[in-house]
Amino acid sequence: MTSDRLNDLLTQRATEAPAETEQSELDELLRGRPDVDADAFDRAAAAVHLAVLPRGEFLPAALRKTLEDDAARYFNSDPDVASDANVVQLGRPAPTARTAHYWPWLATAAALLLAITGWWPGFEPSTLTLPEQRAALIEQGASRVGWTATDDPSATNASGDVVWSQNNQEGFMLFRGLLSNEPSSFQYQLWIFDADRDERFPVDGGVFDIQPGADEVIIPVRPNIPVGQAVLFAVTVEVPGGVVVSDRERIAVVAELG
Amino acid sequence: MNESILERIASGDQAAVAQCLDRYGGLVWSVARSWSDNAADAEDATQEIFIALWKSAARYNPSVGSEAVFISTIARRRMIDRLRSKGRRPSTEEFDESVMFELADSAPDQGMVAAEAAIAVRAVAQLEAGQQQVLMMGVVQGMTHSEIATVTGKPLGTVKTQLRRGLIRVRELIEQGADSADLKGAD
Repeated sequence: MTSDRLNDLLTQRATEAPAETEQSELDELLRGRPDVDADAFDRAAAAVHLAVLPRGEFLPAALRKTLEDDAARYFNSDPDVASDANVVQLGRPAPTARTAHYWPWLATAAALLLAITGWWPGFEPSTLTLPEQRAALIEQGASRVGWTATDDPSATNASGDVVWSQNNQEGFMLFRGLLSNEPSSFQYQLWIFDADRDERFPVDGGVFDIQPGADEVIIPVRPNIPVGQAVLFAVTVEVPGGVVVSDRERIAVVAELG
Repeated sequence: MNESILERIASGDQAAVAQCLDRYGGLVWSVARSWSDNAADAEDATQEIFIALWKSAARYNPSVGSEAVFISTIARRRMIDRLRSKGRRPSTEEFDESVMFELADSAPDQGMVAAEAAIAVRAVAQLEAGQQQVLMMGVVQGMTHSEIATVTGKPLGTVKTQLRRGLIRVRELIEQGADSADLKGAD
């Protein structure tokens, strides 16, 4: 019978990366249990994940081309592509401890972009200003609906609108009069309600700030998971960094798409 | 019996790459997007996952699961490593005690995805609501066990136990399903 400790560690590996010491312990336990299917928990987790993945996802064309190029380079033994950095450990433990070679520049670049834009980088770089991008999206026929302010103190004088393009999976929030925030005190967080999803599970649109003194603020909307059919945008007031689960106690503004 | 896509890739058949991207590209992209902060990060992750997949294709064993599950396993492992290395949480959605799993529609050529996913849904449906919630947070949301404990107010040990038991139940049902239905291979 498989020990609870081994199952605990296998569960941990299937759901979160174990710490070095736990990984070493797991490797040691697995070496002593050649009868154990080391990947069974991972497969179970993968099956559960498959069950709830959104429907009809397709690779963006540009990304697909990149993947084909990567594959061609890999199969032609390009050392950059074929480095051990991309090996995923499955099955029995390797003779030596795992050594992670990540792409640290990615984190640096992402942090830099975040610092510059104050928001997520877009799907494609644009030389247009945010108002120009917003206007262009409206010209393309994106949906546009005004904010409805609640009685939350942050929204006493709030107005503006949200522009959303279902096809592009992007949009822009425009705010006037929404209370400026000190990011270390609180932040605003966007939630997108999707008709194709259970309403209990709105898509997290990320956190953003309203700088003091700005008459008008435009915030890009680029959700990190697909939105099938956006029906409601809601902005809540949350702790710095945003929340995993919003208690919805402080809803600042909402916009319902017709 | 025809070779699976991954078996063809493992044998160096580059023509199988396009088929793999056709059939499983959306799946990988979906996993990467759901656990990335932005599109650029998701694209990088997708590249990493597919390179890892080309490297790992030879390890695919059709006798223990479908290609979809194998590829999802690779994708999840890669994303978990990325999340840990960046020290950040993945995407967030809201859950409550009554969360229930629903089977997402699958593309016409993803029959095997649906088969194993359906078994997973059945297995999860047998768990009590609190366990379902924990499993959803740990498996789909990519939350750490400590984060789940914080959000749900459950002791960390309870979270770990519920995750372990939930995955064991799913695994048992998948194994039973594999005995009664052909889940092996995707072609």
